[in-house]
Amino acid sequence: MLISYNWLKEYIDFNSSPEDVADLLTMSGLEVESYKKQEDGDVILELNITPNRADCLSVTGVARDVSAVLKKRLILPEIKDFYNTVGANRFKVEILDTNLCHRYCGIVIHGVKTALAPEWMAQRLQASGIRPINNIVDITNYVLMEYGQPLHAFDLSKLKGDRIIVRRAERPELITTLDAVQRTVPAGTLLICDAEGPVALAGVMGGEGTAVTAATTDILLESAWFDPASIRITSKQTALRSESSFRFERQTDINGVKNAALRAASLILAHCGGRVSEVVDNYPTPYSAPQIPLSHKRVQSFLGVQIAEDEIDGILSRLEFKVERQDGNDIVSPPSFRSDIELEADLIEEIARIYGYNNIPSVMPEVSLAINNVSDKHSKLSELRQALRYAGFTETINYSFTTKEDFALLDITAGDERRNSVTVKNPLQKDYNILRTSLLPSLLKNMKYNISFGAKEVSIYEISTVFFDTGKGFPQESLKLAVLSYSSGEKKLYTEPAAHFYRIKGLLEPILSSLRCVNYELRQSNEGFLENGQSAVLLIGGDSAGFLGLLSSETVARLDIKAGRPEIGLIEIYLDRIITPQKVSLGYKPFLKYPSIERDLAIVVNETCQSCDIVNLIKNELSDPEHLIESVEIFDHYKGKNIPEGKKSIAYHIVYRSATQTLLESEIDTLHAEIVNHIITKTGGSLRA
Amino acid sequence: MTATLETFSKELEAVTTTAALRELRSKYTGKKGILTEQLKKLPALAPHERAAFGKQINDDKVYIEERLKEYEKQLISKEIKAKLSSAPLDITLPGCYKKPGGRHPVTIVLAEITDIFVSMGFTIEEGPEVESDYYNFEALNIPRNHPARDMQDTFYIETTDDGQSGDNSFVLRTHTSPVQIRVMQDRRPPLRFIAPGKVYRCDSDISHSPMFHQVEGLVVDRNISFSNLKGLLEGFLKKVFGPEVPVRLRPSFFPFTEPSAEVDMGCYFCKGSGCRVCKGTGWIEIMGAGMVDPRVFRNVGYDTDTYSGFAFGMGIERIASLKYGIDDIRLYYEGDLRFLRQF
Repeated sequence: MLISYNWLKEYIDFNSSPEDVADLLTMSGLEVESYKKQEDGDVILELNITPNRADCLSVTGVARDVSAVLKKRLILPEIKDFYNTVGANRFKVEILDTNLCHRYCGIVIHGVKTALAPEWMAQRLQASGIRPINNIVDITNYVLMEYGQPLHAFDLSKLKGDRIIVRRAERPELITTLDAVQRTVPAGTLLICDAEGPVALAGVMGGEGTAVTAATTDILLESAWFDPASIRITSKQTALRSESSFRFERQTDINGVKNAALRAASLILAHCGGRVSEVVDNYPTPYSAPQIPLSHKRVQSFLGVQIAEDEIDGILSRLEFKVERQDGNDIVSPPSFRSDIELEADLIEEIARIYGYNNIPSVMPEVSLAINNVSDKHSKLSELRQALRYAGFTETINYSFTTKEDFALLDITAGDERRNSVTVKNPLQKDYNILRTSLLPSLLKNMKYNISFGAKEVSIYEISTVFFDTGKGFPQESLKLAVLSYSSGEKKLYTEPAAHFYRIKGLLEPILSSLRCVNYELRQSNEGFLENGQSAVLLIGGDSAGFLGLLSSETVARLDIKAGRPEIGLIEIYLDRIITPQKVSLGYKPFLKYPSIERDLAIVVNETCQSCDIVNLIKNELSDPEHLIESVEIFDHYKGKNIPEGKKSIAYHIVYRSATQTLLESEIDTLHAEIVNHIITKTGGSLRA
Repeated sequence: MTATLETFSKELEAVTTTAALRELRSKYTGKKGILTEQLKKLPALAPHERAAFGKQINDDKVYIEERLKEYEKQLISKEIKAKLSSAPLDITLPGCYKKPGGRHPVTIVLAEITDIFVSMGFTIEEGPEVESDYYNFEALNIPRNHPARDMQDTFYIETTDDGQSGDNSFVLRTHTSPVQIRVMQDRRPPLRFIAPGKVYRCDSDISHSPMFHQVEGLVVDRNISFSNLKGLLEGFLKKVFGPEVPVRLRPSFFPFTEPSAEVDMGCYFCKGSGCRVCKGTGWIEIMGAGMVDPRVFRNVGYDTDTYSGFAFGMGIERIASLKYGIDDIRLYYEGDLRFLRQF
């Protein structure tokens, strides 16, 4: 809200500079966002009034707060009633819905002359951000800015049947508003009607047909109190926001309704001529102020400062609260313009803000210590981030919103759980209206973005929540980790130690072990977007917890990357299936003191034979009752020269050791020979020459 | 010094290679070496001369061997050096290692904040990012059709059975405050926790992102006062931004706190003299806070006569932007390595 410093000064006698006033307002709860010096020497303050302070949506309202802080008297314009009105009881105001309209005051004025408003008034309106129109409308707006009470002027000659009926729409009804738009409002909307039909959307906007024009001579001035929620609903439904609806939906001062109308009538008589013929004040739902008990002791303990009792009462009185002492405590009734005050805590806030937050000491809380049941999830996640960081990966964070094009990009077919996405009703971008079920499309987008800036390598990851529609109630949320490693295939200074798949796998394995995930298995994956034979699914307890592998060449081609041999390695895993609360106890195993015997074994097998199968043959299939096989480690994997086509050579290093004695070479020779034979029989392979 | 040793010393000085040294060694101590030859003269000597002669030869031998050994060490290291300097590695080539990746500034700041609160005995709590209307608004004293709902532009979630009453509607949480309700429903005081996480607002420009991160905090105990709220938040901000940073609280409005406060700190850039960042005021809004509104305590069944508490919330990107001088919030979400690798 924009407010003029000079206008403010009219209601309160003080010498503070605009800067000081701005600071004072900010520190008492009416934040001044900016102030601008005008050519005429005035200063315009831009106030950010919080939704609870409807009483400050006017110059006098702000003045009241300033006066309470400065302890200066508030000087309001004198309001004059019109007692001897001619032709009384001709005009009727009927309130059919007294729940939504608690008070309606109408003033009939005859013989006005519309013209431009006086220069000073037009200037003040402009300074407040309101466009001057004509003297009648400008006066209603002037009083709106002065008292915060919205007013409306009807052209009386266009109101049928000398009456106003305040009622809800019984069915969808038609009205053409001041902005010349014909609108259908739904049943239940609060309407201001004449004898024939709607003439205004109550509290939101007047009708075009009854608007004041240059030809208007007789008017009905409306000042009323409408239910805040009802006005807000109408304003939302019609997408119409006005200075009036803004104030009504924050609740106006019901006891100020008539005063504002009288003030406007006086101004109209003074500047537009005419005479007041009738004042109708229909007030069927009288206001009753709440009685709020306030304990001084509680004020002190709640704020943590010893404010004197007199000071507490003084602050409340300056804010026009009624304070009665009862058994050492207060019973406080807030004024009718402070509908935000309901509880003791609300009163304490009033006391604190006028006392000054700056005058309350800063003291650390004294609390009782407790043993907390702390999950180690956060420390595990930071370990994970650390590990990825030192493996060369940079963390990205992407928006949770995405587009259905993701499914096509990754060939995610109907029936796949990743299609069960959650939809956002009102997305910022029309197509970006679903929440992610996979983080990979975002990482691929990050990758392309960086390639467009010339990146030859992109190693990134993201840890974020994904969302699955469950069809009912809350979506299912899961924490995922996705990793992307792109290389353009260009020559580098040092050669990579292994093929891309093994580098990706070599990233995942230590991650899993650092997260204490040991019982996992990797199997060939059948994800459509991963390269067949260069990808794997991660199984934990038989259930899929993610996958890793290279992006399929078809998908890479679709991404249209300008590089020689682009390779994209990917991992995506469900962290909440891996980071589980169960504790894995790490036990210490003493080392064996007897010497070991070591044997190497190189075997030529079919290319399709899997390394882990052979390890399995060695470790699990042979009878080794004394557990002499301590470890089996692969140290060579070779295809090419000297090995027949379709075959490969695998070499293992086996360590034998007994827990109870020094082994004899001869014993091991027998066991080792048995192993060799077993492998040859099972794989159809042969020892490498 | 014997004549033998004198000659040896002269000859040793002339030696420059390990090969020559080996030759010199065999010349003196070898099987047909000078000392061996001298020893052969021993039987020809008179018995009383033998002991002295033998000892002399032995002393010479010990001396010679020691000198040789010492000199050999010097020669070897000289030779290695010479060899290395004739074919040196280009030591300016980069070391072979994976250059560490960048940390996300949001993660860095979040970790810093978490550490500070954990050090004070706070726990870390979580809640869902898609929230029900009840947790995000109603329970926090933000009723339907109340203007306070305009304070946060909300993303709504499409539900399969639409047309149902709004009470079951879902939103992308607009703040981390719903976690307050979830934890209080679940546990009794005393409580002391923070709840970090993503939040969403239907708004996007250079300083507003439709998704950003917040940290919520809640302390509930007996005798918690507004002055405690001031003490804790001032302490926290001084820890993050330095002990000299001025901090002020001013009255504000949040439906779920009463009294409510906006927490400002002295502008980080102009040190209070007024600049573009602080819009000339010298102060920067950094968090919202307040005493928990009794209406909220009532919603979770806490006794407002026994317990009081305070809550606070802050935007992580905002703190990171101030710390690192980041002037465009979109940088956080573009995944641009030129940006992220700087952290």
